[in-house]
Amino acid sequence: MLNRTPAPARSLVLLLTVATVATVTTVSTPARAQVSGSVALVSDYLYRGVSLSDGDPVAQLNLAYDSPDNWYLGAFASPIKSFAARRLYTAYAGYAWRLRSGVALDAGMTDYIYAGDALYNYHEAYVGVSLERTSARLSYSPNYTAMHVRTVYAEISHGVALTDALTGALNGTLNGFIHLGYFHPLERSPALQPRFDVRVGVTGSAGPCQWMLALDGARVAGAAPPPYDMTRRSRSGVVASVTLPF
Amino acid sequence: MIRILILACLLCWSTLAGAADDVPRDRPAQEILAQEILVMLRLPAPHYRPDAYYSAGYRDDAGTAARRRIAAAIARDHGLTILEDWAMPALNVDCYRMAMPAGAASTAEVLEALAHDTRVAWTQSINEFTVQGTSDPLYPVQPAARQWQLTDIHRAATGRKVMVAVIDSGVDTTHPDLDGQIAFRENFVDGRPYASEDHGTGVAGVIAARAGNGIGIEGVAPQARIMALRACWQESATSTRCNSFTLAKAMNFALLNGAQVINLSLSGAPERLLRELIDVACARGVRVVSAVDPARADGGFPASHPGVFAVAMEGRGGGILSAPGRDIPTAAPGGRWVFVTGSSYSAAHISGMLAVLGELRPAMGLSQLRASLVMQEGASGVDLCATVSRLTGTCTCGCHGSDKLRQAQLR
Repeated sequence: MLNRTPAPARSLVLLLTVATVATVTTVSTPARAQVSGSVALVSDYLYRGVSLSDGDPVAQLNLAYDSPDNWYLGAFASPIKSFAARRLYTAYAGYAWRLRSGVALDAGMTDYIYAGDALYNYHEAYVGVSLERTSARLSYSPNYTAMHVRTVYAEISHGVALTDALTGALNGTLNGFIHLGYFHPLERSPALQPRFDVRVGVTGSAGPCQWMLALDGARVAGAAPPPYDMTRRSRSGVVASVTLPF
Repeated sequence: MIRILILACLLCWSTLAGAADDVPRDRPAQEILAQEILVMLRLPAPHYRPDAYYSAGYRDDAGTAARRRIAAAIARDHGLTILEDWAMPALNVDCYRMAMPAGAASTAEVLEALAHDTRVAWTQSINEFTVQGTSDPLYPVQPAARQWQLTDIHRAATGRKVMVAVIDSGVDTTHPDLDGQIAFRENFVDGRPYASEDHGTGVAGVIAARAGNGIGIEGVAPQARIMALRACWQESATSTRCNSFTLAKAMNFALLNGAQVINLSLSGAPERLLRELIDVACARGVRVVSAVDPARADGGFPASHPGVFAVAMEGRGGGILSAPGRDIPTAAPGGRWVFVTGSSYSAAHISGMLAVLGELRPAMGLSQLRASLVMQEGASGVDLCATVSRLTGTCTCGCHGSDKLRQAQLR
């Protein structure tokens, strides 16, 4: 069980990568389907307030496929420095559609795969709702990082367009945003504590790149964490990223 | 680590300095229309993505770069040039304005070829629309003041907080009779900066000119909130024009920002893009008002489209409403007032009326609203006094002892 192979997951990511490259370069996609993705450089891989890269910068890849029938799937890969794993792969799939009123709904599942340390692999299901500038999502995992703990994570994000005065100078757009999240284990666990995370920042575009500069913080809710709490790696501080979407 | 990021930023900026993603917008909207088309790509609903940055609007999301790449490939394959891109989540499409190669004869062949391109959702040519207003000064009094007894109506309702979108040429937002009435001011005419223009200012004045400020006129709904959405441009004293793309951008904005009434005092040929946006508006209970083109038997588009409140200066039957449209005093750019004539201003009267009714019954459905209008006997004009009385259940106009019988009959 300790050596439960992540080979199927690796194959999935490889398949998606090959499919994407082929699509982007030569083959035409099925009617109205869209393949997209991005490469990003982040100063610190902060995930729900926890640094998975031990405060170090990493490069990340994301691929997504949007079918003409509202379902989508995608994959994500990033180096990490948590646990014994060296890479985190995420495979996700879901269904998203817009209602007549303009509200968009989204539901899906994510598979988290730790390359080299499959012990911590887990699934998560989510539902989300989006308005023009605001979105919220609720995620549930039956076995968070394989610790036999059910968890939920609730988050809300809101963006605002900033002054047009800077837009011309930067030859791009400038937006502000805030993201609030709350992670809650549904069972008591010595290693997992409920915590809040906040990110406030600005994003903008420069040519084809998107950049982000933000303040990111997390705080454990309740009493001080015990010695084995993995969230001890939470940091408060500045995070920046540059993304090239394609 | 921050150094690496700064390096990356500098790399991006230096290699791509000045290379704007969008093609330079130096071609005014009204020229070369015949050589431009609209190509729609599917706009997927927003969903979970690990790389989703926090965008502040619908014009830029994580899939934008991919769609631009697809649009560029389509343009290459069909010999087109991308001019502009505008996402329209209300229709689930990302709309690209593309130009034909110089010297191309007609758009028909390209549109036919694009109809078979599986990457494209649908396409459309850009059509022209003209406003329905002429200018003709005569009587120095507002017909609506007499016909609708505005003083009495405004005791019951003034369209307070009802959002009315004026999709038209530029409204003079500094006009003293419109001071404080404008909630939004946006320009959707590419290549022409916002300007205060006759038609839009006149329409906005009829709808929501300030009441009791000691100057000028009193709007039909003097406490309504105006969205001044410039989708038309004034070329001369007698010519104001709009096109499919500018109107669609304005409609999209109106829908996303909570318009409850949309005034379209213009007319043109029927087309899919505006038809679909109007259908979405009607499905959301938004009241869409349009001016009838007297030269056309069916009243023209969008007036003839089902669900739209079509308005003419005189009765034409067939469910078309009539409202004052001759010799209407209204606001004009530069803090002036002029007398105007045209079904444009009849439509503006009905938009103001719907704002007044919207204050009384904001959630009433479209068909129920239409059924609740009390018409003048044997005519197509609306008896606003009787309509408001019916909706409020109390006497509204000319209420004396002898009218209590009439009041009882109206219940």
